[in-house]
Amino acid sequence: MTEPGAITARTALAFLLATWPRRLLLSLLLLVPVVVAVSGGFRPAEPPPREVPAEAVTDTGSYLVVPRAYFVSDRVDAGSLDEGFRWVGALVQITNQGTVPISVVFEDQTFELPDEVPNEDGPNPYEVLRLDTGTRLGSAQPGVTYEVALLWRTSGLEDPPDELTLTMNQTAWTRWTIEAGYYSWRATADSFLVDLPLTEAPDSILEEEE
Amino acid sequence: MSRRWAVAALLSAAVVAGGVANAIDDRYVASGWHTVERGEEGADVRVANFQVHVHGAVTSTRLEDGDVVTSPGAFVVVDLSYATTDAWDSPEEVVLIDGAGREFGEPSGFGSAARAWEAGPDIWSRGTLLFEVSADAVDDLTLEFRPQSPDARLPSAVLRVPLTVTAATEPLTVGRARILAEGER
Amino acid sequence: MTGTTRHGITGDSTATRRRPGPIATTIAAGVLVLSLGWWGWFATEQARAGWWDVGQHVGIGPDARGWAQVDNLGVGVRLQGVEALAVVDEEQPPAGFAYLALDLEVVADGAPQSRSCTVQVRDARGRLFEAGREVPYADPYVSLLECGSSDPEEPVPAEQSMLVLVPVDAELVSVRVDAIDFPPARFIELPVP
Repeated sequence: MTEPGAITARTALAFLLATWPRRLLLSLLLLVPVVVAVSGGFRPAEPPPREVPAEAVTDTGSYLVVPRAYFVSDRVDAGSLDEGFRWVGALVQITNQGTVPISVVFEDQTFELPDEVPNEDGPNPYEVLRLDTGTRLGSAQPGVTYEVALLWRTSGLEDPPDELTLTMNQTAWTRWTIEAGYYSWRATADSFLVDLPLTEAPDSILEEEE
Repeated sequence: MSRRWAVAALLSAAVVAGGVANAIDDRYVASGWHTVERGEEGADVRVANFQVHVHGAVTSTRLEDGDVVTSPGAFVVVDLSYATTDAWDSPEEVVLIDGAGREFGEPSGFGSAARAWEAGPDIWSRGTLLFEVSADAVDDLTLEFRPQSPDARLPSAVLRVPLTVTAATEPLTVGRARILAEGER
Repeated sequence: MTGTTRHGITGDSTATRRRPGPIATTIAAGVLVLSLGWWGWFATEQARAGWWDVGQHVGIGPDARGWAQVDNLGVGVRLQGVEALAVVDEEQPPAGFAYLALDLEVVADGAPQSRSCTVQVRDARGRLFEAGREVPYADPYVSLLECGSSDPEEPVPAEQSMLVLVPVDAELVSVRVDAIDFPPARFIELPVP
């Protein structure tokens, strides 16, 4: 620092701390972070979700998604899938754009059912089935394009509406701050909304006709 | 004069040491200190408490699994044998890695015959491992055999074996691993 | 804070500051190493406890009559006999291997608790071969040793036999019996006659 600069700085500081009222006011500044933290902290402003059409490709970060349709059925069957539930399913095509397999049920925050649908489990899918084999998807391998049914258990939807709005969150390959070097796909503030038309559940995931 | 240089040198050494520690932490400790053993097909290779012998791999878009299933990508079946050195054990993970560094793991829904099995001490068994990969990855695949999953707290070793993958004319099949006679691979 | 540090002035016998001598430095270094070591021991306590508890570290051997007892569980095992077989129920092991038949006597008269024990055969090279693995399903051989029953009306079978796949040239040393609820680090070790 230059001499005149140093002198100015000292003068300014002396001015600010000259009297007790000024010192008190200055110390209140230190309380600002505490007050902000107590009131919940700053949150990034969430931009409004973007509407995208069905049957068109949307890049959500972890996946390239082609949303197709939705269905409601109580005859969904895949090995040890729970019986006696009504299922609401979203038919989508997904391609993992990342470098490692993604467990759609355990590690994924992309797909969310609208809040209005009475849901037993949570916004993210309870199970995901492949339409080609009728079995659980497990993990989506990188670069492989799957046609899947995202499933949620529901106690509502006795009279399914013509359209259901699916939320697809934009996810980013994020580094964890707690465990260095570990990455996962985390939902960002951006999201997409797509209106899925009602359709029949595909045969490959339904139980056999008696 | 020399004291200032000494201080400057120590300061930059501290900064460099900090940077290096950060880099090491990021690359190794966080994902587990692991050594990479490199092996090749057709040879016995030792990694941690396993002895591995990879025979080869075949690929097709079709798999015989009761019915014939057609993959949206490609199926790859790896033919390999392994044994342990100490007690009955199975590897925690076996994955395929392509030229771009993408990792392909065990696909679901294809039965236990497609998964890694338990082998005994100097008791070799030969079997098949099924993978489903992106169609453009098939030309450049390496098998990575992980006795233990990488853990930040423990050093571990993994084995990498580049694969020669032959295209099959018939749908692929997987079979249960079988114990080999003494000396067989 | 301004000021200059004082260095020892070479050649001046009235130097006001002396560097610590070699003995003091060594002692300080020793104390540092010891305290680091103590801290390290303390910090790894959980990891070491886990490793110790789960592993097999303390063998319970047989008494004069051949019985090895896990006292607090009331479990006792005795090795009645060991025999290498070239064929079992018309099934042959792969070339270079044999089926070892283990005849065991089991007693479980502690608190009723359903329990299966793993049985391994240890050889001179330290390899552990597990009973019931890759062996034929044939009477009277079982693939898991019953060493605890939750039903007092149905106690564990007093005599149980198991098969072990072993290399023909293995030099057998002992039979190990272990269960999840055996005391930490403990296992039964019965020498092979």
